[in-house]
Amino acid sequence: MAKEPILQINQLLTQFYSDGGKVNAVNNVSLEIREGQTVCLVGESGCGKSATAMSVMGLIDPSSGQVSNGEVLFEGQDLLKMKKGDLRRLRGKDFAMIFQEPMSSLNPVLTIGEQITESIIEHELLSKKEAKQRGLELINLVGIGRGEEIFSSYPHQLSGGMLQRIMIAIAISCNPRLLIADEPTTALDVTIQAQILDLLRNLKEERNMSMLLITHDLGVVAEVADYVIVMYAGKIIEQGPVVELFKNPKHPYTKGLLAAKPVINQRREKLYTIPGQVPNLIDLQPSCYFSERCEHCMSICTTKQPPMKQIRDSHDVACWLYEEEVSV
Amino acid sequence: MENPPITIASKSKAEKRKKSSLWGQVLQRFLKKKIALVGLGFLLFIFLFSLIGPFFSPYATEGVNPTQINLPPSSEHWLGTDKLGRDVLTRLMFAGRISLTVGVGAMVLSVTFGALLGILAGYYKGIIDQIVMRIADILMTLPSLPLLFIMAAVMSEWKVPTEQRLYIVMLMLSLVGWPGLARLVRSQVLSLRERQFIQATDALGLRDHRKLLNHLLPNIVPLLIVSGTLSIGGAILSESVLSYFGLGVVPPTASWGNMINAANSLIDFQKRPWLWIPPGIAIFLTVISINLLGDGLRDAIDPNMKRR
Repeated sequence: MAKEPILQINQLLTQFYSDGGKVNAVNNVSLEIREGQTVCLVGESGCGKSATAMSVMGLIDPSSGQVSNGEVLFEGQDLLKMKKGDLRRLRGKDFAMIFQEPMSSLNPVLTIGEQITESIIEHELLSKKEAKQRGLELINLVGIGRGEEIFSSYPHQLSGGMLQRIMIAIAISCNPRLLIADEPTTALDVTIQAQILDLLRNLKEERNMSMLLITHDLGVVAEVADYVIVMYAGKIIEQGPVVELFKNPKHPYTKGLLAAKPVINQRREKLYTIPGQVPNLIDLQPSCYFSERCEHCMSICTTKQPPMKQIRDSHDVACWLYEEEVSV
Repeated sequence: MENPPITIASKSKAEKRKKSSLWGQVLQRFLKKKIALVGLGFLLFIFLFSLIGPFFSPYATEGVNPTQINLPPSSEHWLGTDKLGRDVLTRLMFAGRISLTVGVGAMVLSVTFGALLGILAGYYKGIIDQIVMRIADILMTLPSLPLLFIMAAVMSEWKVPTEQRLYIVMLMLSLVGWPGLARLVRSQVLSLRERQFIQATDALGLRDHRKLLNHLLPNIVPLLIVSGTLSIGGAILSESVLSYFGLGVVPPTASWGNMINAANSLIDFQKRPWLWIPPGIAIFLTVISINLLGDGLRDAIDPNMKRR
């Protein structure tokens, strides 16, 4: 597994402007994805998962926010320092993104065919005819029959599951090495979710892609991830290989997340919930951001931020509970 | 025995529904608007009347005939003749060509300018938006009729050849026409660019001109069709006003506006109504049909609009 990281994020700081000042949506996040690896970013709504993906793609709207610090190295090149034109040539070709809502991610007035072939024509300099051929192959590849018919239909004529397949087809059309999927199954029902995940996993293996999967669904994580990163309030609080993390969660928040997951055949009166809410990101004091909701909160938790500590091989956690264990 | 025909019928129906594309649906809705169809029908009639009518007329447009001046309508000259002995009906057809050309030409120009500048301003925002929109604001603060008069007067001062005046009038009309359209387009683009599918084009690494022309433009085409159609009527009216005052298209080139100019002379006004009533009716009916057509198109293209 000692492969070169295909994507390496160092100390990423993404800020959004708000009336109350700058908000650190992504706060000092560092992560790496190796070739052929699937990394899952997990956390509840508003914890900075999507903002991380957007920062990598360079899709942060300059009028509402900016990437203030850090580097995003894609195969050694810093995407943040790259010229716009160079970045454009990489986007969609070497790394691509799948969005959360397939229904609103396709242009309603263009046919599926036009949208599939577009990035192929843009990046691969193929003729329209060749691009159409490739488009039909892609539609077939993502498991939809009737390629010709789909090719000339409009987004409103297809179901959500089919549209998400089309989105995947568009994303992989130029054989990207990294696929960023931002909650690709959230807008779909459960049976379709499983199909889409299978599809993603198969494609990933066939094409030896790496994948950054963003989700809040731990079931999805268990199914596809190699490595899991848990985010809370813009920071990474725990990361580790999927089996290790599920078997041996360290951070109280991760434990809470796992406890809140329904388990088949273990009927409980009520699902476990983590009390409280994500803190307001505007006025955060130096503290463990989870301290307000934490059952094991100590005095140091409210005054100082816990550093990242390695617990076991590539399993890190940022929590004061384990600080003494390791250092003493 | 009765089963097979039913399946066939329902199958063909399903097929029909599947085939109806976006524009197919628009067409279906449009065909239900009787009054818009009347407008379209009359417009077609006017177009044919002006374009191929002259070929059936025995008279030439410049066919001056001193022996037959100021004749009232008769079987020979259906709408009489004017003070130079020209057949009014024939002139009406030629004038229609000019007026329609000016109307359509001015519309094409102002839609082109308006759409282009509106898309650029809405998509890039910032400094481009500021420049384009401030120019539009300035043009919109100037009352358009006096502005047109001044430009036309300058044109006369520079002794622009009569044949070229037509094109300059088109340009002038589009100059006062584009700001309103650019505003509409810009506001539409401002909301479109925040939609996810435009963000998705970013993620696909598409070039800007592709984003603007392939993704944004098709989304504003309905808007352009409707406001473009309606603006033809306005352009025809403005041209008529200018020509009536002898500032737009000037004789000997005929336009509906400068034909009505005959009403300026008291004798013509009182004694020879066949000189100025036909062009007046032509303008009136053309503009009304354009407006009916435009309204019908708007209802057909955006069915949500009429419920408001």
